[in-house]
Amino acid sequence: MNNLFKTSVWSFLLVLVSANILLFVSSIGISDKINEFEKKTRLLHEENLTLEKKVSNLTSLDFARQKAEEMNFTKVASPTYLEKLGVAYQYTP
Amino acid sequence: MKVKLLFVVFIIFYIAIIARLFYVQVVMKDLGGQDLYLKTQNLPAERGRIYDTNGNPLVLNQNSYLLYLEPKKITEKYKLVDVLSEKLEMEKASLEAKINDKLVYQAIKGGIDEDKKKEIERLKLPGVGFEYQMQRFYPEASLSAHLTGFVGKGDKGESIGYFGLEGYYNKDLIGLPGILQTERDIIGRPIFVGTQNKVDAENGRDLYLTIDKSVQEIAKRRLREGLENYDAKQGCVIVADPNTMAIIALSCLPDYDMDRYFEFTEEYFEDPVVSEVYEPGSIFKPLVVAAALDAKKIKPDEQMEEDGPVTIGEYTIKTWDDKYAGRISMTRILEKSSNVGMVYIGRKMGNKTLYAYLEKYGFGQTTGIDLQGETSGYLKPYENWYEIDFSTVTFGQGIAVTPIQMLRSFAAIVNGGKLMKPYVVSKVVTHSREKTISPVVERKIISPRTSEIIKKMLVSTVQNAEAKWDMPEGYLIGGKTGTAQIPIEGHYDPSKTIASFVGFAPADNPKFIALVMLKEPKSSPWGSETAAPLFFNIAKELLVYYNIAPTQ
Repeated sequence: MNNLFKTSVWSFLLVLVSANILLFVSSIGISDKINEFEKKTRLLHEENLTLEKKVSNLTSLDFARQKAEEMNFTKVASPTYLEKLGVAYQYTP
Repeated sequence: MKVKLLFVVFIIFYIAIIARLFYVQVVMKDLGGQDLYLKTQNLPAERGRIYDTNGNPLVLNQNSYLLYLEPKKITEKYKLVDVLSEKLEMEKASLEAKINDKLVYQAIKGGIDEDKKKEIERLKLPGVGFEYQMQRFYPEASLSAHLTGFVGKGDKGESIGYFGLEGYYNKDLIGLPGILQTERDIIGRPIFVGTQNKVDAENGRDLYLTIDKSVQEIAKRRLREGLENYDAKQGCVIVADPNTMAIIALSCLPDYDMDRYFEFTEEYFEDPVVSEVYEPGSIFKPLVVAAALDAKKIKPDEQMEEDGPVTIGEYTIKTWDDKYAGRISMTRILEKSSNVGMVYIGRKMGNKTLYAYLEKYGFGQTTGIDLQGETSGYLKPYENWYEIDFSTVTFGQGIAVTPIQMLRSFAAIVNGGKLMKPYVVSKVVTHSREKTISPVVERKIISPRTSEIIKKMLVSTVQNAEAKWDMPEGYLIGGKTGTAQIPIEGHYDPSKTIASFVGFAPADNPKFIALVMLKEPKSSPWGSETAAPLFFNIAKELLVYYNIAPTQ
């Protein structure tokens, strides 16, 4: 009986120590993952701002002007009004 | 026996450890003992963005870095100084003098962009690190410098908006930083079972403006051309919706680069549209005529005798060309911009009625526009007015107004008589809700009938003006020129003028109203020869942009 009790106590202590070690190692792993996610979140945020900047450059007037020059859009544009055909007929290029 | 003794020693040490842990974690807890592992990190809030009326970005945020040094980790100081001074465009001597070997951390330069940061990181210089910041980015460069203002630093190094929208809406744009408290071990790893407190950052509110980026570009481009063509010192163009006083474009030159605001003196930052006063001159005349019609002191078909100068005390008031046409109508007074005719109208109104309308128009009070730095202008108290003042004010001299006050009052006489509060922001947006800002009617100035009459008079003023302009064909446009002399040390300098034109189109149902002002144009002092042609150039582009078909 005494031996059984001693064995149980030592087994229990062994299980506790093992669980503690396992928990400790897992928490280190999870902490590393937390660090990694924090870093990824920061990088994603920076990437978002970079992409937003690129998109805004594509919609800027400067970019439109550049493209217009490349595509040879003329400076002078006389509007032709199709709502009032009388005016449109009077248009001479 | 020895084993039992060893066992007792272990128990004693065990109890000592527990006692010490108890002391550190429980007794010392309130004395900061727990803070050994508790790290607090600020979570910066993103400053709100600014968009135009179509959702195009005018002001965004971009990644930016602060370069810092850890002097104790620097191995080759001279090589580092050589390389960094070149990359950062700093003087070698000043960089070397800045580095203090006794410090653990030293900030060197902020505002470094991503590409530059990657370039420096590739060099793998020991003792060099980067701290993340955010900086403003302007996709359209300084298209709307006076409108947006800029973000600078406060006394404690915090980011603060100055002038324009950044200044006026700073509290909305700034947001609230968050805080992250975590227990970390010695190498910075979070302790999983420790304290984790987080308050999320609240990003600043985004602003959606009434400004149209394309109209802003038209206004600024034409203004720049005008300043060059007429060799003017300064100029402004404001375009607005006369029915709501939503500002569609606002541009003044010279302006400044918001990214490099520190290279400019403060005189560049103030927006002349809201912060500077001037004597408006003849563009003031329609306001007085509208007031007189509304008060039934004159009739639209009334005529007066313009037979010579008018003497008031020691002063003589003449027409601008000293020519007198005899019997003329009220409309003709505006067409030929007759000062003598305006004095007649002022006398018919009476001083009290005239002054009452000046107050009704809002002169001497701020308009409440949502831009920082607005001044109220100056309207002398009634008791301080001399007889000559009541005469000169009828043609816009002797009164100091801001351009925005002038435009707002003019809009009131063409929109049916409502004095509207001018505004630039139409919507304030957070991640969870939107707040729309509606137009505000301050008060009624004149009746809708009077408004229709004055509009017709202003169309006639443009059609029968002394000067002939290259106007867009097929449209009814109303407006008035102005050439105001600039008061310098108690007298007027005839060679220095503020040339202006205010016009609206299409006249029957105005889609836009615009005020063009040029300060000290050298090619010609007259508004009819400088500001008016500039207005019509802008109007031509706007009529096409808004797809307004000709009606004549």
